[in-house]
Amino acid sequence: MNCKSARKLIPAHIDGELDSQKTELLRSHLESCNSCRGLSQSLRRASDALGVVPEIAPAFTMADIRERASLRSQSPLMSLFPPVSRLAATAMAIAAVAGGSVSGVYYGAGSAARQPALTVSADTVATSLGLDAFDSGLAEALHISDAGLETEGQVTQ
Amino acid sequence: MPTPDSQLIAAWQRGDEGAFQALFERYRARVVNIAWRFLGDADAAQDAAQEVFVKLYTSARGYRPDAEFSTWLYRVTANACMDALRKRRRWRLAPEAELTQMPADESASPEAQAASDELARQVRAAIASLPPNQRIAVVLQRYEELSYKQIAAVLNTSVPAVESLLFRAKDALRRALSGYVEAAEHPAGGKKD
Repeated sequence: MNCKSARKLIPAHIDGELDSQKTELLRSHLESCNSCRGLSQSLRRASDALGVVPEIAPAFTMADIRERASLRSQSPLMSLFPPVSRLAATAMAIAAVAGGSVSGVYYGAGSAARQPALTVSADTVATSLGLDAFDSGLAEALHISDAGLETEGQVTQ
Repeated sequence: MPTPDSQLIAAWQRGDEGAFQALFERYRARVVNIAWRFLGDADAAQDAAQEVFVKLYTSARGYRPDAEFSTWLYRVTANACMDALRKRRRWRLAPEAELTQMPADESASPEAQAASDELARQVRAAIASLPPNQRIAVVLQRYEELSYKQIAAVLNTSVPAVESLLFRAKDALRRALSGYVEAAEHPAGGKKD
């Protein structure tokens, strides 16, 4: 066995994945080759070092899974957002609602017949985005009252 | 003797919530730690692990036992990790190598704790620097102790492909951890051959 072939087999040897025939050939090569033996020792030490990363404990319960599954069934698009961006998603939804409102005012100006006002509650925004109670609290902090946000103008068709 | 996974999944498919709870308890630590080793961020790992169980909770009725349940679960976990990585990049969140601070081991001396923390930081950064497919192969092999054949089944590839992935991954890790590896080979300022 030459060095090139031996080096390819070393990781599988360390992982105990080589059959007995290849193991014997590799062992024989390592006994006579300082360079490959050094590589084998380095790979083994690097593999051992991976063991220093400690485990973490799960920080969620079955109730969290049920709640998330329930929210997901109501709002499948929320899976596209990472959790920390939910505030941003909330803000985008609010901006969209506000944008509709502003457009409505602009295009509706001078119109004799007013359309029904658009009413969006904090709960509606939160539920449509699949947000939890904490995020809903954030929506409220952004001045959407529980009583609902009534736009001043109208949404033109 | 614990109830086999296959019986629990069959019971869950019949609507037995307790069977799902048992699977959840059996696998949640394993799933969260695969995500943790892959993503290098504890919060992101908790989130990805929850996604795995939500997927299981909502789609278990579509599961067909053409593979071991654990293989299927590892595959869902690998996909959730890849998705989490894509989201981090898409939303320009902190890079995965920006690592979570771990609690200190109170039994260790401050010096030993600092050395251990530093090595753990280097290891997590080294893992995070691997391409995603090499990274998941390393996590499944080194931490979950899956055989190459099992990893091939999870990643839906061949055993030679797994050998190749792990060969490249382990060589890259050896290079990334060369400071530690060389210090271990030549302790106390020993001279190289």
